[in-house]
Amino acid sequence: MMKFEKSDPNQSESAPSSTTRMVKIGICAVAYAAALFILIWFENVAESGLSYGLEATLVLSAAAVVVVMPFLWMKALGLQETKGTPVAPSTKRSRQIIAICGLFGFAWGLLFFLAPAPFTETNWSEISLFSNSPLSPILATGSAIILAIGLIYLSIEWRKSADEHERAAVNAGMYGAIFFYSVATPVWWIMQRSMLVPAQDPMIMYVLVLIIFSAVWTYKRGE
Amino acid sequence: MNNRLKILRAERDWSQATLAVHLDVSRQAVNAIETGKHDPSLPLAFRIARLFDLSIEEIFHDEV
Repeated sequence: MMKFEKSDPNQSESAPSSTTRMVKIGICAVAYAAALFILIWFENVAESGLSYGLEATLVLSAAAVVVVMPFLWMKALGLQETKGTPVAPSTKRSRQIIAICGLFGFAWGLLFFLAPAPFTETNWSEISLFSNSPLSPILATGSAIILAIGLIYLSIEWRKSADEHERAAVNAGMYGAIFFYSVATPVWWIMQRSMLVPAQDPMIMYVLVLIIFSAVWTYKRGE
Repeated sequence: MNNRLKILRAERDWSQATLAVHLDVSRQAVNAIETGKHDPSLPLAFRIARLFDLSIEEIFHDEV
């Protein structure tokens, strides 16, 4: 039987109120989406019309927001544990898998960003994660297989290690994301047919779906 | 669903994190169960009952 140190049972364990969490998640989600849209826009627009200095500042700021925001997001919701807090083995394992997913995504993004010319059919400067520029079949097939297998494997492993509350939070996030997708896609399509909005961009829709998923997941997780 | 989890935990001077390790769940899960925002599954309810050496009905009861 494991031994545990006695600790204050009334330590600050209450989650922020629902409204506070909703506001904080909303701010984080909007900031994250805005930063990603800036990156996607600059990747796909040949000539932004902005000065080089302003363009560089915007892109670097957006990249910084994308990197830092997940940590702020978790901190704002009180989901970061204080150092030394005991953690259950299953929680530890699910956190490790999430960290591996983060590293995996970072490595994948880096591969696209640094892909040397022989692997691509475009100029080096045009290669990046959010660009729609064409890729060589080798790079496209290889990264698609790695992404598909890696994501499926890590998702299954994570699901096996997460506790039921976490799984319920993820299920709610998935439900919210698919609901958003099933509403937003036809609405955008109808609006685009009357030329009220530009044509659908799959990357923007993907980013929005992931942000809705993350917002609902973290909201439910912090309950 | 109401429950006596917080009282039982306090009687043992356990933090939510300590109870979470005993049950092999996250601290957030313990918090959600205590505040009635998450109803535990039967297997988890049995684990909780075993841990406190009580029956499930002695810990959990409906709101009626």
